[in-house]
Amino acid sequence: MKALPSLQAMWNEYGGKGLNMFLLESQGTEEDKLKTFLAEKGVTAPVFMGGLASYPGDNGLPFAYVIGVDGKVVFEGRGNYEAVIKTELAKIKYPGLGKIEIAKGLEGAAANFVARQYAKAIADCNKVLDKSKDDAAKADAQFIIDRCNAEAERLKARADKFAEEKHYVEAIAALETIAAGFKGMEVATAAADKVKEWKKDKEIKKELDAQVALNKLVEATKNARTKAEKAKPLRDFAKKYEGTRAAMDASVLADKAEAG
Amino acid sequence: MKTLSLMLLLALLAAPAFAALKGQAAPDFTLESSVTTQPEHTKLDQCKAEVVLIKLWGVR
Repeated sequence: MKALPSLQAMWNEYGGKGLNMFLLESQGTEEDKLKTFLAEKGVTAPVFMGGLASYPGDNGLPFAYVIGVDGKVVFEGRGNYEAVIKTELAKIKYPGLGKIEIAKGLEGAAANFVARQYAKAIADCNKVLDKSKDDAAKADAQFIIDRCNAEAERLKARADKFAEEKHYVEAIAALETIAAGFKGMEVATAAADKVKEWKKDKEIKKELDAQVALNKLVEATKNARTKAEKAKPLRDFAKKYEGTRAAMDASVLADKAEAG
Repeated sequence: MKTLSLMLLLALLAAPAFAALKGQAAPDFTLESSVTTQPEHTKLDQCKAEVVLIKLWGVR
């Protein structure tokens, strides 16, 4: 698809800053072939297999839907939707918060939420809850506190999911976000303790070292000219780090490189 | 006139039969694992007050 580079550029610029992107491969391409195709094109924007029954398009591809900040569909069809996206993005003051307008006096709390300074955001909100007589401000303060707590839960779930897969680099990153963002709170201490515990564990340390080494290898072989140039270092890596999750990942990448 | 009416009828029959969503509240959805980057949000209700692009496309 011709638009992939511009979609990737949009993702690089606005992903995590208010734009959520769901690219749905709707021709039933096999997963391995799809992953290889995307890797070759350098696509990291979120791609999913299959379609969505509630967003059927018109039987022709490509087809796009843009949902605006008010939750309504603001574009459907083909053509230039980039301008529509930019117009909607300009309306967002606090990406990720889930609210466009916030009561006066809570702008700092909302900004702290966006900066992932959750403990500061909660402290700002508690002041409003204690002192303000404005019901709307109190409701917004409670809304921000709830959003902070939901973020802690989401990050914990993310850490658990990655740890289950033995992808400890990502799992630790999620816990470190909790530890830094909720500094001084119980949830932060628990996250920091978990990271310390993991880093002391010999098996986990082995997994971590292997994963870091694999990430470096993937980066180093990114521009390999032939299939063999790309696959061989990955096969060697899989032997060297046998028994780790990273070795399994390396073998899968080698298979793809050879099939590519 | 008859020819024009017939042409209009044929054009209407040939038009894609899809329910227009523009201007309506976006239907909810949940997606599973991405084959590339796993985004922070995979459900529409996690994207409140944000912008969402859904793009249907194909490799071929």
